[in-house]
Formats: sequence, C-alpha cells, structure tokens
Amino acid sequence: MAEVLKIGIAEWKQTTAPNRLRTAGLGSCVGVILYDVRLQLAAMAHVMLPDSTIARKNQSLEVGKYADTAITALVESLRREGATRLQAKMAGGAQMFQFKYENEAMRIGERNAEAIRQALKTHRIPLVAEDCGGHNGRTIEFDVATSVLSIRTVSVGTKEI
Amino acid sequence: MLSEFEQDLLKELGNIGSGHAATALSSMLGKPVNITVSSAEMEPITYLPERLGGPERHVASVLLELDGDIRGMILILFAVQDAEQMVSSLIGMPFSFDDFDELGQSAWEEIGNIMSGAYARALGDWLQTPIMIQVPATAIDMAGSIVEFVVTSVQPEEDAALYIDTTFMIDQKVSAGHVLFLPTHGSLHQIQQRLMGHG
Repeated sequence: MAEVLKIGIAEWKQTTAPNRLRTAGLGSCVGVILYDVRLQLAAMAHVMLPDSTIARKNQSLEVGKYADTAITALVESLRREGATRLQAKMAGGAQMFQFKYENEAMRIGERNAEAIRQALKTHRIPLVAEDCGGHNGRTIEFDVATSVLSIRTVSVGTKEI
Repeated sequence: MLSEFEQDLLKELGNIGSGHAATALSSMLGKPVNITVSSAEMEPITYLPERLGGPERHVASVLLELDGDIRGMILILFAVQDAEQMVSSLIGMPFSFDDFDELGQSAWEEIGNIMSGAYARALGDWLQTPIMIQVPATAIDMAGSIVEFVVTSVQPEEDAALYIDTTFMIDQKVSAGHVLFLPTHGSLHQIQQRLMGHG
C-alpha cells in the first residue's frame, strides 16, 4: 500500500517507493526533495529560514527549519541508506504580500531558495528542477517511484516538474 | 510565556479592537454591524493553520505592519466567501474575487484598511504608545502559506500570536474573522511592561 507522508513546517521525512512525500501551504518556505532514482529513495524538508546561525541560543535547533542544516541532514540520512547519486528538486519561496515599500524581511522566500541552491552546490548535488518565487502559496507532492513533483496553487492549478 | 492576568488583559484588548473595527465598518457601510468575540488568546504559531481550517483553506487576508515602540504585524483572515459577502454589502451587488472586479477589489482593500487600522489604534490606545502604520497589503491564498509568510517575516517572540476570533453580522449575514497580532522580538516584553502599568 502506497502511503503519503505529510511534512509539517520545519520538519523533514524520508521514504521509499511507492510512497509519496507531501507538504501543504508553502508560502515563503521552500520544500526541497533529495532523491536517488536507482534506490527509489527520497527525503523532503520544509525549510523555513535560510541560515541556522540566526537561531536564538536558547532554542533547541530544529534541523529541518534552516536551509543549511536541512540539506546536511537529508544528505547524511540518504547516504546512510546507501544513496550515492543524489539529485534535487524544490518549490516554494513565494512573496505572499506586495507592500508599496521595500522590506528586507519580506524577501525571505527568495533568500531561502538561494540558500538551498548554495547548500546543494556545496554538496555537489544537481538541482534538476525548481518552481520558486512568485506571489502564490503552493502545496507539493513528490512521487518517489517516478521522481515527479506535483505543485498545486490556488490561482494556476496543478503542474508537474 | 504570559501570566493568566496578562492573557486576560490581552483578551480585553481583543474585545476593544473588535469594537473599534465594528464601529469603523458600520460607518463605512452605513448600516449596523454587530460583533461577537468568541475567543482571544495567545496561541503557539504552529497551531494557527489548523485553527484556521487547515493549511490549504482558501482565505482572504489583510496584513498591516506596525512600527514605533511596539513592532509587529496584524493579520486579518476571512474565509473567501465571507469576505466576498462583506464586499457585496459595501458595493451593493454580488462580488467574487475570481471576477477580478476592480471596484470590489478596492472595496475589499478599504475594508482591510479600516479594520486593521482599528485594531492598531486600539492597541496603541490600550498601551498608551503611538503606533505607526502603513497601507496594508492583501492576499487571497492558502491559509498555511499566508501564516507562514507572516511568521517568517516577523520572527515573533515566544513563537506565539494573539489570536482573536470575531464574527461580524451585517445584513443578517455572519462573517467569521480571525485576527492575529504578532509582536516582533522584544516587543512582547514592552507590552508586558506597559500592561503591568494597568494592573
């Protein structure tokens, strides 16, 4: 029986085919998937912020929350299962509100996506496809068996990358 | 976290803010607006999408940034059909966001403007500090995406928000609104200090 694993904000999960990985209501957050086609193995993280160094000292560090720690956690976990040829896809990083004035904090979606691109480069993992930016929220679902990422938005409907 | 006494004070703030919003709406619409505040409490941010009916629920929202001694954001959310109903009352004809009707869209922005402004003024009066506001922005999208965007922009303290449930009755029709106030890091402490002055 195929299962759909749900990933909440700042969480990450790993699974194998025929299961699917899903995260709902991505705004400025980015859903990133690392997968090994040969092993039919994949992991998804719901990344909230670009950099773990901004974590407050008294907070316990949630690895899925930050781009850098999430990518490292996914790579280590997938390699433990024997993954050797990892690839990546990602979606999200929207700017949900457009104010009439500029505000650096509101560009966090863009910064999340860029931080993930950098982390993937560091780990030498090719980014096969992405759907980032814009002004719409996204719900995404990754089919481990086919490596297809379905992306649903309120205004555009569903597309696949 | 806040004490029970402080939570009670924040509930009162929720009542005052909703009262201001109803008065402002009523003079804008030229008809009576009745309100019921069903709850006002501090909630962990992670619970918010579920309380709003799930992360994928389609909502109409207004976001207002607050500046001054108290910084943060006020986010107002309505189910899309409830927001459309309020716009219809204002423009006197049926309205749907799907129609991209400019008159209706600007009516919605105006409703958002006066409602969020009313909550901001209530907060400023209550805390006896001037609060500066800009023109709010609106978005029609998934509740989870909207809340997430606001949370990552504000990075609030305590990872909690003041959450106020208010129903607005206009023309015998009920619209259920959710108002979230998210203070930025440092501002919650300011609020606590000012609230103690009330005790």
